[in-house]
Amino acid sequence: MTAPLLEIRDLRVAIPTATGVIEALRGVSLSVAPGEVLGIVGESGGGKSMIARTLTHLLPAQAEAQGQVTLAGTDVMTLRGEALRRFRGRSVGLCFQNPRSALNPVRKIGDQLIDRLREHAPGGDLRARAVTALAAVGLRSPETMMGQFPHQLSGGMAQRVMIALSLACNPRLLVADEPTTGLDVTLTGEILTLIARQARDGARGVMIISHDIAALSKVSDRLVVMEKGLIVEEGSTRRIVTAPRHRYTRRLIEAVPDVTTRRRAQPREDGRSVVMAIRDIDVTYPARFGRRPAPALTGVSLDIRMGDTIAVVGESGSGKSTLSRAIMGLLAPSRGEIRFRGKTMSSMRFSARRGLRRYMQMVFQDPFDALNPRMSVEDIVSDPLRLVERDAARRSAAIDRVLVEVGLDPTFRTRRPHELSGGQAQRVGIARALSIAPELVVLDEPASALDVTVQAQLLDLIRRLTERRDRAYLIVSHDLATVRALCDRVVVIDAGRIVEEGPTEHVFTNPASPKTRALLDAAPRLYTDAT
Amino acid sequence: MRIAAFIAKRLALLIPVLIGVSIASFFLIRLIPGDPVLLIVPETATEADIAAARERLGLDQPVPVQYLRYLGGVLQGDFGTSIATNRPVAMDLAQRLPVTLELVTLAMLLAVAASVALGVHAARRLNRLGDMVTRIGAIIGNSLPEFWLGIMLILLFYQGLGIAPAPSGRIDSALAVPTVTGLITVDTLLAGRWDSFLNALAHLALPVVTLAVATSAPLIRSVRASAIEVMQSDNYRCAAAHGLPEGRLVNRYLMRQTLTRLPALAALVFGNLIGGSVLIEFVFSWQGLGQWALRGMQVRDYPVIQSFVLVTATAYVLVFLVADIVQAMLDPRVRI
Amino acid sequence: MPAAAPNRPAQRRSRLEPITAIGAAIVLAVLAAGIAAPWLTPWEPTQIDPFFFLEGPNAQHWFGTDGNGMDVFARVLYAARIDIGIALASVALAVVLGTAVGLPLGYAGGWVDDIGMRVLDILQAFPVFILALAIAAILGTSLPNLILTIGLINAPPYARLIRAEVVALRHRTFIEAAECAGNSHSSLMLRHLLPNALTPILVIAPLNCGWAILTLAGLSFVGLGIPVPEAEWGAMISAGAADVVGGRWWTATFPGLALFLTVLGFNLIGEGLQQRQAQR
Repeated sequence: MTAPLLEIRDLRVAIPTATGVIEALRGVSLSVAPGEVLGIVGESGGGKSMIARTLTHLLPAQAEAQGQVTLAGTDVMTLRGEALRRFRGRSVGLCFQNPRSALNPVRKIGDQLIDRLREHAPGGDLRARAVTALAAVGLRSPETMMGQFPHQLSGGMAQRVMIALSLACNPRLLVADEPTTGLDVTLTGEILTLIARQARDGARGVMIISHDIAALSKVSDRLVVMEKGLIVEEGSTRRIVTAPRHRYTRRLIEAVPDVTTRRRAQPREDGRSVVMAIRDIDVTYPARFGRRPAPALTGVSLDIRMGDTIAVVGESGSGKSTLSRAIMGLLAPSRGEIRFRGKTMSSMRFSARRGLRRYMQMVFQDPFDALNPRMSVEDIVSDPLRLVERDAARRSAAIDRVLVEVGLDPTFRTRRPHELSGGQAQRVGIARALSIAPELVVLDEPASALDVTVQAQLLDLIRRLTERRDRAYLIVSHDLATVRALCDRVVVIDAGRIVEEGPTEHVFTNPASPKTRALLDAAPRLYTDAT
Repeated sequence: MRIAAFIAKRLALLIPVLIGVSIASFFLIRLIPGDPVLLIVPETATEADIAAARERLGLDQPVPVQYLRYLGGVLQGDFGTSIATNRPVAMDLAQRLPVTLELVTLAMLLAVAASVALGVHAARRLNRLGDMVTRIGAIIGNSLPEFWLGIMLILLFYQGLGIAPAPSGRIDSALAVPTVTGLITVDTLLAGRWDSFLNALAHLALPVVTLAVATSAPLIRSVRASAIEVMQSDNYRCAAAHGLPEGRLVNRYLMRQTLTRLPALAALVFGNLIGGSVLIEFVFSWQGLGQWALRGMQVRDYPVIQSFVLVTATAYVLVFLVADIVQAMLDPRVRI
Repeated sequence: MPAAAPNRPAQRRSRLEPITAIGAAIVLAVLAAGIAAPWLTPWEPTQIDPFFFLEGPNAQHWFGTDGNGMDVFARVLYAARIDIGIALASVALAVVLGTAVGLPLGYAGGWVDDIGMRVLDILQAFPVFILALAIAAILGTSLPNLILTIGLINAPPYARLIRAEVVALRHRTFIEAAECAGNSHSSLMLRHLLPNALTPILVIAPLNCGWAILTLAGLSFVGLGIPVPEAEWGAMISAGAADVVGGRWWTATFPGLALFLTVLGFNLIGEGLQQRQAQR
């Protein structure tokens, strides 16, 4: 065993706030060897980002840190001034979580890269070396990119630039803090592989911090599992994934959606009424000044029957959210029609459409953003109910009933959104949708904004609700695996068109479209043998 | 080339705004209920005088015709005739405008330079003494009535210490030079009179400082706020985490991003300066546009009021245009 | 010990920033002094003391007398009523007008919004104080007219602010959720959008009160506001401006100090509220 590159002993970080001291790290010890890829996994609030911040002296100003941190023989905690500046970059190269905001918006990519090279690895033709560095992280036209500004890059490109910037400092340890936030599954895999590859020379260490144990299991040699500022389990990736010891690790692993779990409940036989019929609709976003109108959906048709649960799956930008908004009447199709309960909804005016609202409700992706921050839970839940139920006592009873139905205690009625956790907020969102007993419920990525363990519980709630078959559900998701256990039919959408549609099991076992196969391949799964 | 196209586009967008401004200033005097002619003619006027005045002013025509005539006149440089002095308004404007512009421009330069220096300084010493002093200074500056500040400065530097010249115009009459550009600093230099130039500067000092102090508070605050925002941004922390040297960090990352937001703010401050200059000219007996307009307002000299409003608004709009262009050159994110 | 729950900031809500408290104390003190003026000084604001013209501060006239022989202290106190009164009334008017225009514009969007914004653009192309001067000169200087003038020129920024908030909120999910819940247009605007759009307005309002007082005093200073002999700070400073050159400093200094202090009070309140909002 080689001597460790990074050694952290009993690191404690406390952050005093107005409401008390938050103990972000409560005695963390870990090490990274040269040539090793260490994955740190845990949910938000687990303190894992504080490790990266301690390494680069980027803790909040009032934070107090104690413990011993040694990197390549340097005592990190006591570094100050010029010594700290030389250490930063050269010893630790940090990749920020959100690469778009971590790049200087008014400086060319090339100049930002040359800034780093000049400081930490001077010599030679800096410009030529910068171009090489961009090419080395898999960017296709590095020459053009040298003269571009950050806002001209896509999310995946920006993350590659971020990695190139960190590597330009030629660091002994590369640290990536949640490097794949906001990227889709395919890109996540590519970016993580790129980061992990940087340890291959045998001298550099790599530390990847992520909430995504499935993605980490693919690329890391060892895993450290963190919960509430403590390391609860540590070991080789293979051992942790195949034989987790701590219950928290087991929960993380169980929460990874399993693409092989089937739906237990069988769909009802045919002959049920069609709740909504979508006929050959196009949705086009209106032309803005100087821009062409952008088609978002083209020729989409779909029948939603009573008791059905349909999943609409596609990558980000495929048009799936547009479809759910068109169904809800938030967007008007430019062609075709949407019939709901026998009426042509797509051509209705706002006030007429309002009358149909009681029969259709929606649950939104970001649970906090979907709740009016100035309203109490009971006001939020009864907002649709006010339309139909004038009697306050009966409305109140309905609120209690529906809160219990989604697994919340009726005492939650007086809380405000900021007093809820993500999972609770999403349950309130579901309660609001169900309060009025609608015939159709659209769920737009209902769990994707939540922590993994909370996600599993919420999907469980949705599964139970759908199995009652007392209404129709439409679930929008970017992730095929999560919907297998939830729905009867799957609609795969790509570039605004339906590319595949069929009974769930049929689509999973016999995918006809290459897009469906790509989505299936990209589904997160645990890698039990690290390669 | 891109900038040229951008400027052309912005100029095109400016035309409806300027037309709107002209309509608004045209209708301004019609805010008052009743017949505008009665407000224009002397109180002793007879029916025939009133009818004659109505015809002379074109007020017997339909309103749109009146407006088009007015606009046509303005475009040809005819701003009407002052009721009080019977002088062409355009002549007074040409004479007075440079006087005020000189005052306002110098105050603006001083305010912007001081605000950037103080604002960035405060942000880099966040919550330390320098920052506290700057913030308190900004709140005080924001609360000071500029006309009172001017009077207090006169009290201190002229009356008390005797080091400032009397608040009675732009230059001592003995040192006066012929008017060429209307800008006293330029004219004295053109005349080759060093003593006059220094005397003019001494006269400028108090009004310029007063105006700058009274209007730079919001600039200081927003420069400080943007600098703090930049320093707390991921991109600045990332550059710091990658160990970039201090000088580069401050120049290329902090200053560059902070300055990007400055032009629009400076343009807003220009509007405050133009407004404030009316009061300051009053305090320092500065024979500029403000003093002239004020006299017109006190006697309800409508052509004067109308032209003053139109000219200041046009200047304000043009300053915003310049700010837009500068911003577009500084910020690559602005779609050109 | 478990980590402190981060999502319960409930207690923080009621706490005031210290500078807000200082500012509020200043404004309340000035207002109280204005209301209690008859008990604080034996002099009426327009009462002439025939034995004292332009006398410096003394035992009888704490702040001295002006060129008319009126007591400066009494006038400074009484002026608080009119200055603060007009400021509050005109800012209230501006908020109401601005909301009435900005809320529907932001909600409607599309061409209605475009036209509305262009009109606001044009109104805001005029430097505010110059517009105030011109309107005051044309409307005349009665009390209601001054409130109307200052309120009117102040309304466009509020309309813009409310509209910007509403436009930003309009596409927030919770507004879409409210639309899905079946709310009517008016319910969406008043029940869901307005309460969320109001915060920045209320933060700006105190700063605006300070600004409104400065505007009123500025108008009076050049003779287009409250006319002499009514007690108003700006008019008093104007009357005292000429005395300064002769070394009689008190007639302009004291009303100016009162004016400055009051505006400072409002600005401190505003500053504190802004800081609080920034911390959120």
